[in-house]
Amino acid sequence: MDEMNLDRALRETLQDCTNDLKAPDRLKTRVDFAMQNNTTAPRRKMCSWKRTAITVCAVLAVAVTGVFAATSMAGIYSHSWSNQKMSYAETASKAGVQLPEMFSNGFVFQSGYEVFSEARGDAGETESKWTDINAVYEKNGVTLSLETGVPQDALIGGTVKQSREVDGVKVSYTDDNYLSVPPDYELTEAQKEAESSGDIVVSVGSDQVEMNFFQFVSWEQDGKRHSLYGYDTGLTADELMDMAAEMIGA
Amino acid sequence: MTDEELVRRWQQGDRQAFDALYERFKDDAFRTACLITGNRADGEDLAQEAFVQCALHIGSLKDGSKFRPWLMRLLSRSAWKYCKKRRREQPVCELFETGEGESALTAVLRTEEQRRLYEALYVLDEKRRTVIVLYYFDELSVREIAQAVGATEGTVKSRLFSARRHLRQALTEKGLKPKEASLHG
Repeated sequence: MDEMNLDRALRETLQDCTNDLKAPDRLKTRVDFAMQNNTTAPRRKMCSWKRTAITVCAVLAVAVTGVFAATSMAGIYSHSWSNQKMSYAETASKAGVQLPEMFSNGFVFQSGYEVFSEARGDAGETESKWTDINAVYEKNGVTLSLETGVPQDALIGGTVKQSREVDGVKVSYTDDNYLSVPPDYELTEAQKEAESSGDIVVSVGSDQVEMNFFQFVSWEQDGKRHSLYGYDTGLTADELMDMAAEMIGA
Repeated sequence: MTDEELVRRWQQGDRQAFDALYERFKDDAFRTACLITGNRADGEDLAQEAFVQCALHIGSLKDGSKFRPWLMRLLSRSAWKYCKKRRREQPVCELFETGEGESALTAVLRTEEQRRLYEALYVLDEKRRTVIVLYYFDELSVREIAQAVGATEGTVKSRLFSARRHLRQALTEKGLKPKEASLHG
């Protein structure tokens, strides 16, 4: 086949492949959601658990498409690839710590993935970048994430509701009620009041209105930052901190 | 309204100008992303990422009439990074609606020549496939592709040459072996 015929055949093939491809309507919703979060008034630092909760919210918001999720809030930009599934060995190796394959309360390792984050300044410039390793555990349909990374200046502690010390390591616990709403949703007066008083945290970008209870345990050990968190886990603060203690003592 | 005018309005904070640009280029971006990645889900992710990147950096675009190649540049950079990260074989028929494998491919691509070209395209490594898509589908120039993928024009020409050689071979040989093909060039 000569060059001209090959060029023609290539153009026709690529055109024919895509003739029926149209950008789905939900793509605009996803773009708007991500852009809306990007234009949120920037703060240099962000509470680590709130950033985690928001990132998880964003992942949940697009989970129906089984795809990459990105969000940027208050200067922290995070994304992960939901089709990346690492084995236990690979996850533990990348995390660089001894991860339990199973916690004594029955939560079993399912898969791992990387979370890529960067802190951006007011002008959108990158100030720092880091990668966390997220291990997903499951028991009876309840999912917990165990995130491991290096402590970051861009992330500050946030409110602590309970704490305990384990082998000289301080374990902190907090929780919050998250109201996830679609981008065009208008909050009721009661919801606005609850948000103002701090009773709920509103996360924009889900397909439907949903209230979730988010729990977050964090600690630092041997130069690593760890957080164990989940939505609607049905676990108590003590049970979650017991799991942290189990890992600290491993 | 021209792209240039819409970009200028968007840079001044007119969100409707962005919506208009999105409507104008959403299918182009989605199709290019699908062709590079080989499937719709990834194509959707990458199109989203490209538009978000546009929003983040629209202030840096000096010539609004170049919005489309600029969008494609952001898209192909994201796509390339993604392909490098993903590193897995792309199923041949994920682009097609029915998901019925060969029958779907046959329905969309009318000739044996087209089907063999399509299959050969997804045997190419992502660097060569990206260049082929940008050149033949998006009709970017070698210079624009070089800017898009962060390579020299010579490298782009080399990739185009080796990709064409592989694709031509796919049309003339039977039983193409993926590993042999991906080593070309």
